Amino acid sequence: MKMKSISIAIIIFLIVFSGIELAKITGYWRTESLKIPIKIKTGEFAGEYNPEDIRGSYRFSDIAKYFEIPLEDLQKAFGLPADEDVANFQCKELKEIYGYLEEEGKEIGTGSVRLFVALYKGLPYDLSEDTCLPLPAVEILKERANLSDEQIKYLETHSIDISEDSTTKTELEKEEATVEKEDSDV
Amino acid sequence: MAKSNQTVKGVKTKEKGYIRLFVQIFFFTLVGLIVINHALEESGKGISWLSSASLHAICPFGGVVSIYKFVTTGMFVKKIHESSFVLMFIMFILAVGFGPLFCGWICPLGSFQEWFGKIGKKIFKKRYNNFIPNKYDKYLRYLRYGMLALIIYKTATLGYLVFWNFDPYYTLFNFWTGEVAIGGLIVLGIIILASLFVERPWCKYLCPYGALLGIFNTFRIFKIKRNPSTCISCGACDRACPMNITVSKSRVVRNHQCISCLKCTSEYACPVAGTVQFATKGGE
Repeated sequence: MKMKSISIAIIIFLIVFSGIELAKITGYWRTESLKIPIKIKTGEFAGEYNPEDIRGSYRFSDIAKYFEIPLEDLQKAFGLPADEDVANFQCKELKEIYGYLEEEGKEIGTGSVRLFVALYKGLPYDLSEDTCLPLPAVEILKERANLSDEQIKYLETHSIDISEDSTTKTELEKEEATVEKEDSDV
Repeated sequence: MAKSNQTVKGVKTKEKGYIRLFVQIFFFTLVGLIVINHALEESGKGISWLSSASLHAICPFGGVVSIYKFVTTGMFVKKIHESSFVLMFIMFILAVGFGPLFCGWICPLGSFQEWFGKIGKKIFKKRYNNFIPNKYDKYLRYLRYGMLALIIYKTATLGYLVFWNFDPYYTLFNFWTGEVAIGGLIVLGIIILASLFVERPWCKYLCPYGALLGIFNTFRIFKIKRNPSTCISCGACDRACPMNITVSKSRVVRNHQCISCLKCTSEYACPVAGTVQFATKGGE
């Protein structure tokens, strides 16, 4: 059997688009997260929702719903202002708010939410990922969660002060450093 | 679409490759529109009848790098969804039947390099695509398997798209969004420049997905086949091959670099009808 260009073009369109349509019919064609975390399948925590499956597109209301964490705790933990629509706040937006930390080689983002949720719920989490948490989140965890010594030690070295004083101080320090550098250059 | 030509007996008409070009333009445009629609939807102005999926969600290689995580945890690598898995299987089905059709007909980055390379072809003429000596080139072609292994291993161990910051495909369609990494821009810039000298440089030397699909050439159902009894050894097939495969020395092309573009066949470059064909084992 021989094949020419026109037949190949038809086959490409036929297989690609009928494959996609078939996936749509069977409900397997998904181009975004369903916002329902998968459940842990084995071990002590089998049946619990897995915090590792939290994506940047998850809203805080999704996290509150599936992990039963009050929105107020999430708002306070991640330093969201009082006028923020916390329920519709997406995890990936944290990266925009705390983008300035990247200069210091630190990050508060979706990974921080995963860590916070895991520790809050006492679920397993790989601490080797070097994820940071805002200081208020650490305080909430110390108050509400049952943390191990290892976890407390980790949090003490991976907490970031996100208070306005801290930010202003940091910016002032930077400005002072710039002025000092300029003076020394002159 | 077809032009009459040829002095060789047995040839009436020659295709100029417009059919493949049409398919390439179609998929390039489709991916571009989906990316634009994705950005528009985020600002609430999306086109309702067009998919607004992210570029990651419609990349079949995303499915490949997610296999390990999916098998071990039931989750996908971050930014990857079920759609990538579906497209991965579709491309595997096409590859089992016809080899890497994705590379030669669908991949927008491959098409982009091919189109850009036409400038190089005009500048360097016969020297184009023949700059790298074969003694080095034949080894460099295996670099992409190292790339494939590295990306699959790193993605499996780290759980996110490690390649994203250097991905020229993502950069090509998102350079205008401000979301691309400097690494991606550098890699894309190098590819554009290299395309002036070498046809499809990314596909040949570094593309991890091309490496994987290339393996299917060893057992694909439809193969490029040359009939030695009618071959006049003019070398037209060799010169036409964008991947520098010596078709004239093979009865059946099983080379891992073949992208099933059909440029070497009697439909295009080969001047003798029915001599180089894309056919099954029993096909004439």
